[in-house]
Amino acid sequence: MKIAKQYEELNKIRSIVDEKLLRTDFAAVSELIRYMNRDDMFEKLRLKDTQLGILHTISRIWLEEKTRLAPYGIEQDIFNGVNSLELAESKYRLIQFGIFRIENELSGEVIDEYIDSVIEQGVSGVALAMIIREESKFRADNAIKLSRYLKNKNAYVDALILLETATSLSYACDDIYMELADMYLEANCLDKAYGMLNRIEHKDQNIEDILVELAGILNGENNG
Amino acid sequence: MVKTMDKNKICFIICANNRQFLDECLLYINSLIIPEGIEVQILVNEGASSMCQGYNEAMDSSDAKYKVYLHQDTFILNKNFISDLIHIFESDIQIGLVGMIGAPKLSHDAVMWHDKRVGDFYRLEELVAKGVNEIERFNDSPREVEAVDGLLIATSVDIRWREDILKGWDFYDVSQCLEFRRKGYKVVVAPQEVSWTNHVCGAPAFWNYEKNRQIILKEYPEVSEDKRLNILFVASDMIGWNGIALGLSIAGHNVGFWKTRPVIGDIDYKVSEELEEFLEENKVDLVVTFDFVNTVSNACNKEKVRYLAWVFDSPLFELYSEEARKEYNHIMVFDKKQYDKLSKYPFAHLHYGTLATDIERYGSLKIVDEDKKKYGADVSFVGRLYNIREFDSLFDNGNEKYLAEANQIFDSCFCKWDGKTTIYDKASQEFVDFFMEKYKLRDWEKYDLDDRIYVEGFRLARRLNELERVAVLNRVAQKHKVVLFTDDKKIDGLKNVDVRGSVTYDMEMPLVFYFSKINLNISSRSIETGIPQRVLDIMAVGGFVLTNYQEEIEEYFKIGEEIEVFHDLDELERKVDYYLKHEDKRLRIAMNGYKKVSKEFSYTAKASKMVDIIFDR
Repeated sequence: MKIAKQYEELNKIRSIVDEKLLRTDFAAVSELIRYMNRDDMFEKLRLKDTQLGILHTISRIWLEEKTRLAPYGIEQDIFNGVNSLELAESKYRLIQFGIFRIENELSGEVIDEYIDSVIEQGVSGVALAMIIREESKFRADNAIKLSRYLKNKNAYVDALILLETATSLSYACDDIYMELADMYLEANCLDKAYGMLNRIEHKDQNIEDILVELAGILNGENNG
Repeated sequence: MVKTMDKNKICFIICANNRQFLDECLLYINSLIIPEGIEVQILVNEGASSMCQGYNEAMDSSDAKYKVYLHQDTFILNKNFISDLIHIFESDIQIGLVGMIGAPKLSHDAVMWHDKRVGDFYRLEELVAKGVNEIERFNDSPREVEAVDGLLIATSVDIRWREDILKGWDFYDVSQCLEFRRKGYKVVVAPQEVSWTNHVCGAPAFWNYEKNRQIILKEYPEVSEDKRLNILFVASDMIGWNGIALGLSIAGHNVGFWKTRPVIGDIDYKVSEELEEFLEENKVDLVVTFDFVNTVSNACNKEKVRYLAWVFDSPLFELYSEEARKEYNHIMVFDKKQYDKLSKYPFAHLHYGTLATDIERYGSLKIVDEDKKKYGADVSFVGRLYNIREFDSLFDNGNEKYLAEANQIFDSCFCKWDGKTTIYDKASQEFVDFFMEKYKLRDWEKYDLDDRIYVEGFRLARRLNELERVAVLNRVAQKHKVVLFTDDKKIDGLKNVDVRGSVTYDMEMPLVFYFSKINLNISSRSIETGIPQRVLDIMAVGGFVLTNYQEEIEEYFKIGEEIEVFHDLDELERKVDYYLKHEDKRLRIAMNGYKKVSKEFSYTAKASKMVDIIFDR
């Protein structure tokens, strides 16, 4: 397709999408995603427009959120407040830039500012974990640091969900399992802690001992 | 009035239109370590009408000696950026401009990413591993380049940005680098142990790109003096060789590979559209395929991009179509007689040229002794016998007289390779009409192919090939061990020939050529005078080739010194006997043949020459 024609088609797609984004309840977002998946032109051109590309990523985050947030009774999702492509990009950049601030070890003040924004806007741990994967280099490290920052601000559930999501992504590793296991232990979720510690590939003696202890406790509980 | 520049001051200049990006960009600038005695100034232009205009306005309003022009979506990660940058400028007073990524040699189309680049910026490792945006990293000393990317440009001297010619947001970087170079300054890329910047850009926008590119080419003719071309190689579904691509790359051109392999045959409009889009966005100068691919021709002619079809089949069906005659097609054929016949058709550009061979790849062939048993032979032949089709059954049901005529034609040519005997112009018109009546192709009207050429060159030639190949192999096998490597499943008529399976073209066939004492070539009868690919490939591996005589062999090779030929079966038998007994002579001929093809028949040499012809150089 010639460049001029691409430009024309992209403008049409952008108008359609902006129209659809005026509502972001479950049904509306589902319909938007259906449109994105079924429209050949969207699929063809989304890589040629930054905001459409971001929207596509956000839609994948939304789908993951619907699975992971439901058990926690959280209904707010990534599309909250996203009523246009501009706002979609703005929200995405907020999250992305904050991850870079953490990765580049900017001052505590600016990171604090970021964490406060994330909490205020109800950005889920799912979104954080997935955007870490999409955009950053030192993913595991970023996920752990971000989860600690969130815990420090009492956003415990977001921190937990962030790490849980991370364990299912390509950057899952022993460090993340360990961090999550710690959180489970703090929350007295012993069976989950046990499961997480068991996933650690390189277990040292300390972890082996903890596993034995946990096994003992869990068996005792089972036997009444 | 000359402005006095403050060498203890550095000014960061940003043209901005997005507050969120700008704020983040400033955050990183404000996190930089400021060396003692250095003052930092930041100028933001939020109302610029073009990048050059915005930069000039800011430049004029600052007396800082060092100026850093950066995009709002560029975050400076290196906290010691200021001291590192000043150190680069102070290391060589001729350095006027420093960037983060640049092209040592700017492509002749002025597009920086069309050629090799050096430097670094923040990239995800998996993209680096995939070779996406391939950039050579380095960390020793500043590398001189012809142009740097505008994501960040630092200067130690004020030179006006060309707002007089560039009114938009593209090519200001290339222009400014060329301005600096014109005034005798060096343009360099900073050495980076770890990326100094993160450029959070999205999808590139090409909407006004071409207009600005043309301005650059006009204003800076030194750019297009570079003779290197952007060439796209497209492999087809049937032919995966890429020797031409490698050869052109060695010759210095920028060669890319198309992502899919179009089918040889009818135009695939979906694939054509994808290719058209690619050609438009990527400023491709030339597209190359082996044989002729209608889909590629369609795309190239729509985008007015030259297309070289390097034809190694003779004759080739697809050349007899309207599509083949389109304006941007350059068809190269290797058989002079075929060239003469095709010259009668209105091709836009028809060329004659011998084929070439993949010297570079064959030169790096891995030879292990264990392969000798599998691939070696006293005498070998790699190829088909074309006996898949049941020729005789075409003449059933009362048409035996035509079969008799066909057999007469075969007898008149059988195993005579004297440069005069040919399959062509022998069949009666009645025979030709009979054949066309019964066996014309379904969509015949698409092709402007003479019935006679079809019947003789495509159909009769195949049957004669089969008869001759069987005869040649049987004759040699009477006294010697002959190995046939073939993918034919049904082999009739062979006696005492060791029939083995097929070998892969790129990996195994060269080993056969290398390990066999004598490699036979039995040309298809449809090739009238030209030198087939097989002959050159054998010689490129250093193999000894014994081939049927073809007229053009004498033009390019010394028979008996660089190659050997046979004109009939008796001569074939004599020469096989002789060369199996006289290894020294055989090896000498093989060596001479190798030297000849490596010098004159490499893809690098031949393809470059063809490219020069196409571009009138």
